[in-house]
Amino acid sequence: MSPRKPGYVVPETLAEASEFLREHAEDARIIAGGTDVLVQLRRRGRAGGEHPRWLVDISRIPGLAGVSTDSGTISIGAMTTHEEIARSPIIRKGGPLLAEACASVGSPQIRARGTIGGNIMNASPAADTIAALAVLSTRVRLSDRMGTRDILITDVFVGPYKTSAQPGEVLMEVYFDALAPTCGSAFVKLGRREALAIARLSCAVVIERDDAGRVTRAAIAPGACLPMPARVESAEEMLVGKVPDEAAVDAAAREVAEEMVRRTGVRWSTDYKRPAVEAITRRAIWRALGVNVE
Amino acid sequence: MEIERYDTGEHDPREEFGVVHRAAKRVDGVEKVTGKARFAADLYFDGMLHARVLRAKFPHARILRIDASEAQNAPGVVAVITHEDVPGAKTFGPVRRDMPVLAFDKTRYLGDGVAMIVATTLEAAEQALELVRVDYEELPAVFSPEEAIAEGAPVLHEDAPGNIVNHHKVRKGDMEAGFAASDVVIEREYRTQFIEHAYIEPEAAVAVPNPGEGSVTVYGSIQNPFTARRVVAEVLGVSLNKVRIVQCTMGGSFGGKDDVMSCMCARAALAALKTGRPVKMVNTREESIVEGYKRHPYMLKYRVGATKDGKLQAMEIRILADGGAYASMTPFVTWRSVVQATGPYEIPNVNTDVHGVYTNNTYTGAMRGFGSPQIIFAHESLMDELAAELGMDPLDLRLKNGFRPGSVTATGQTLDDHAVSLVEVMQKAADAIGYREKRKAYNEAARRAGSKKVRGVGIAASYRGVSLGGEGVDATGAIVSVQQDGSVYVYAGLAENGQGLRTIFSQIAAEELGCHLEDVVFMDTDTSLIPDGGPTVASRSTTMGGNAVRDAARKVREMLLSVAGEMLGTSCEALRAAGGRVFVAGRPERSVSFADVARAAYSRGELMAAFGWYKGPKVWWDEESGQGRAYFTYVYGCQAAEVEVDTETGRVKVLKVAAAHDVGRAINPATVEGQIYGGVAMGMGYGLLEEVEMARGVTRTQNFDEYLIATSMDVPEVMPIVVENPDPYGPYGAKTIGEPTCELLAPAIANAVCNATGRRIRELPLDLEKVLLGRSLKAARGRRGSEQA
Amino acid sequence: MKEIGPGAMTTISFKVNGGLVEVEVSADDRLIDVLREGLRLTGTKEGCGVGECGACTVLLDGKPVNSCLVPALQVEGREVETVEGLAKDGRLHPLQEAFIEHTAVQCGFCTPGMLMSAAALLRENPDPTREDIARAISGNLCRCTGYHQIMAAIEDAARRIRAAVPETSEAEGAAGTPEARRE
Repeated sequence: MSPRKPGYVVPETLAEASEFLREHAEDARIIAGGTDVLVQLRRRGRAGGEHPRWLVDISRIPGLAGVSTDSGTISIGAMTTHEEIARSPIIRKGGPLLAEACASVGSPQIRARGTIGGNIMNASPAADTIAALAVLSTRVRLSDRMGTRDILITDVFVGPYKTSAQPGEVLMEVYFDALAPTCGSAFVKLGRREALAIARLSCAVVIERDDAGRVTRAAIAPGACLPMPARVESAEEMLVGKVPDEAAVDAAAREVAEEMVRRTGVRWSTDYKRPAVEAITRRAIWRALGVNVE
Repeated sequence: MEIERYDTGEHDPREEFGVVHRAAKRVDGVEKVTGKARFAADLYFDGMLHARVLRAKFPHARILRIDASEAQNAPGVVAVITHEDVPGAKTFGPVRRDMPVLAFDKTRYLGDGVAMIVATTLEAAEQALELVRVDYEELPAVFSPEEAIAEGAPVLHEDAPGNIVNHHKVRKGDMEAGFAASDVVIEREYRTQFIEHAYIEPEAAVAVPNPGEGSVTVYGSIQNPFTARRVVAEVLGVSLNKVRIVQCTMGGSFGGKDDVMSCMCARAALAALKTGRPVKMVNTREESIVEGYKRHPYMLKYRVGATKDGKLQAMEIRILADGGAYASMTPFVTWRSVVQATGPYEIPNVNTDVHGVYTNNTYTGAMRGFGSPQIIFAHESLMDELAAELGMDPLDLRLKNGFRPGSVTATGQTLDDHAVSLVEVMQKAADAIGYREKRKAYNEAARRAGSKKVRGVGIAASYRGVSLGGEGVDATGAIVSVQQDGSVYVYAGLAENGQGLRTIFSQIAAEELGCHLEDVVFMDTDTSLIPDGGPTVASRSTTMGGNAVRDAARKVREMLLSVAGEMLGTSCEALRAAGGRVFVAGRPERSVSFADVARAAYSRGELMAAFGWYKGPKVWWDEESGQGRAYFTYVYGCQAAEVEVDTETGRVKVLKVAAAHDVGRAINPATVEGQIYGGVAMGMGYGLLEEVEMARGVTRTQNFDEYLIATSMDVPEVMPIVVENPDPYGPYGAKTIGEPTCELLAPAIANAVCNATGRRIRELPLDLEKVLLGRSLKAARGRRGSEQA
Repeated sequence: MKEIGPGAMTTISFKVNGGLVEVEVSADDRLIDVLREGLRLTGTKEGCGVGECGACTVLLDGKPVNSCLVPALQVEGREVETVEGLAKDGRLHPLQEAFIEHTAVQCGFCTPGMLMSAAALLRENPDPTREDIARAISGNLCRCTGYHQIMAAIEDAARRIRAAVPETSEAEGAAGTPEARRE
């Protein structure tokens, strides 16, 4: 018996999980697919490492996995894997950019284990799914012993690897309105290689237009370049009400890059990221408009 | 252009072979696909202990005191081992004995081992590491060769003032006259990065004490068992015959499991002898990357002069190599660099200086290529830059100056006894990629404004000395032993590293004996069974070891044929052995089976085994002038790359690679192709992806999430072009293939990127930032610290 | 709610290659530890410990996973397949045969994981394209081969499985060598 080995609990209900997590607030770590937690456990004692006293395995709580749709709202259980989301016909129809984002995660092995809930709650600034969830105006449902509360995905994050979830709160599911068939969307990711790539940059875009081709709604979220995942409203506004032409798209893309610099300040990588974010955003907008410019 | 072909003397190139020159299946295939192959970490012994190493806390520090008393008493701990427990030599090293098996006076890089915990479980060993107290006095450190050679820089090793590991030079002709005769002179500076072998199997060893006093057997993932044996014996202070090294199945090496494994073997052996129990050591990936030596970063300054019609007149080369904390193979690696630094071009006047320098970075040593990838990146970039300056096509410039039969190298060696096939490989690679058409078309395309993704083609060529050359003794042995049922054992002093040596040597034995390949079993390399045959390095296995196997097999065959002659009532001169039978030439119906001959030989009491030995042809080298016959033969290779560059993100995609390599003769074309595919992937990594980032001695890229090698989705289409001009020295004319395949692609990519974008990048790797901005952002990152996103 | 206290051990049972096993594990034991140390199924290799190299790939309920990232306790009651389970009744799996014949093996360290990823692919997609294959093994790093011969082997194995006549393959004819008699 070793004092350094964590304990392990396998709750059968969300209530049990919440109760245990609340009692062991600072000492417990939720484990779902394990793809982040086991890496952090391995790194204990080093940067990015963790050494929790308890692991709370939520993988056996019924009802936490799967994609469903009900009157235009798509719900994804926290334990749904990237692979399941990437393949889900519901997602491919009602949120294809999320399917693309999930398909771009790591490798088949990671996609088979990593969950959407884990990807959100690990709160990595480079998480592939979050930009896509942000432009879908996704809400997340957190559960604790008192009940549930729903917050906007972008309100989950308070800093790199930090969330606003309270001790005892478990992410149950995420949900968003299915995109209308007329709605354009895109997820563009730039990695250093084709697989097993952490996003150097990414961008998710949703654009809705009226019959005249005028943009009625635009959502743009760059990934892996903001301190906290967010949409860039100032750029979205540059498109709304317009029939997008090259000038408008360029301006919106530039605004995303400028906003990034405003939010992060000038860093070692800014010389690269500023033009690259602009380019990735421009491509994502065009692709959402149905034009492949690559 | 006609290529002169050389006769090997013994074998007509058109000759039919039975077993060699064919795509035989790997003899170790079944065990490897079933999971039964035993790698070192797969070994378990009764009572086996586990050992972990405490690493240095500072890249440069004096060790004042090591207090292990608390660790000693921790649960599960059986022994704590420090330098005080070393009975023999405290240091080792292939050239300079400067590397401590466990640090005693100083630490010189963060991978140094300071103490070792041996415990009943891995976890207990790991936990007890934290209980070892080490008092250090931190010393000023140097993290680049430029800093290291500066006036007043801190010195790492007292016997190496100025931190110089070695200095090699080449002096040929009259530099002043050469540059005076030049119409165009350009000067360029290039840089290469640290890279990691990235074998997928981390280092592992198990040491088992033998009943005899001070005797030990070490099983391990060991590239060079004889080197490991010498180090273990020296550290233990025992004679060589007390140490037995058995090589396990190797999960890749690429030059990387040499010094670091000698060290691990010595540590495991110390622990086994101290505790009297088997001790297992397995590096984590992080330890492997922090501790293991790297490919040297080079800083290269080239000055070249040519006439306006493109004839090279003079080349001046200044190279600094970052040797890191210990000399390791730096003197030999930089020696290959100095020999080959001009590239495969005739240049009447050459002046080259290469310095290996100590720093407090991770030490650097042997890695596939061994001092060639760095200089090839430089000279092949330089050729393209010079061509641009001259308004010539880069391929034409190379063809104009490239080695031909009878050319004289920078070291004064006349290339007249093997096929100098440089022109042939260049033309074949260029044709396969469609170089001429595409180069022109892409130049025009690039000129068209507005295109976000642009394409380019580029080539790079090299010549490469085979085997060790002037580095040292070049000889090796093998045993071929036929059993009474006709089955065969082959033992060799060179070792399988995953490259296919067992298969090649088995093929050669079967070819000579005339038996079936599947009747041959290649035995694990065991230092107690075979004389020291030198290291498995320098792409020397097929040439050197192949000749030794052939020598041994021929001796046994001679005996078998004389027995068969008696059985068939004919003279043995009339007999042939092939396909598992011995028969009368031209009358295959008069035959006996190989097994029957073996049985008959056995019952007559014949010696059925033979020892084979091969000593490489003579080479010589004059240190002062840098002139000599550096290697006994050379191979020629050319790779051409077609790339697509995303001009908005800096992302480079390699679309297609044509790789033309003269291998002399392909003993096994399938494994030759495998070497080409693998070398191309590694070369692409060197060009685009790979870099061990070190910041003030701290390795940032400690695992495969940050050290990026190519995945299956990254590798380009590859066209392997196997050129065969049989060599007079190699078995059946075979030369070498392992290393040349990975030394060419990085410059070919850089040249293609320049063709596509007009931007010349002189520093590897061509990552997103450099391709987009034309400069590295890494230095800035070092100053401002890392960022999360 | 099942609870294992800090430092404590518990027994789990699950299926490996068709047979039920029981092993004692603690909370931070990973599936790879159970396979290698506990069951001595050492065909599954550890190359990085962080799910990047894929050498430890096994199938968990039919899906390829990195066994270094699976807590042993999550395997309770489930089904694991390793490279040791690929050959059936002394016959190599078509993928194993194809790997040998296409020289898709060099050092062999990535091979077991590579085979498991390929096996998962072919069960789901008997007629994969080159892109499908590249994607399926994109989580398995190989430093020796550059992947081409591996991809060719998987393509060929798919053909054999579809044809269900593993004895007569094109590759075998091309290699021109008799069937290996080892093992």
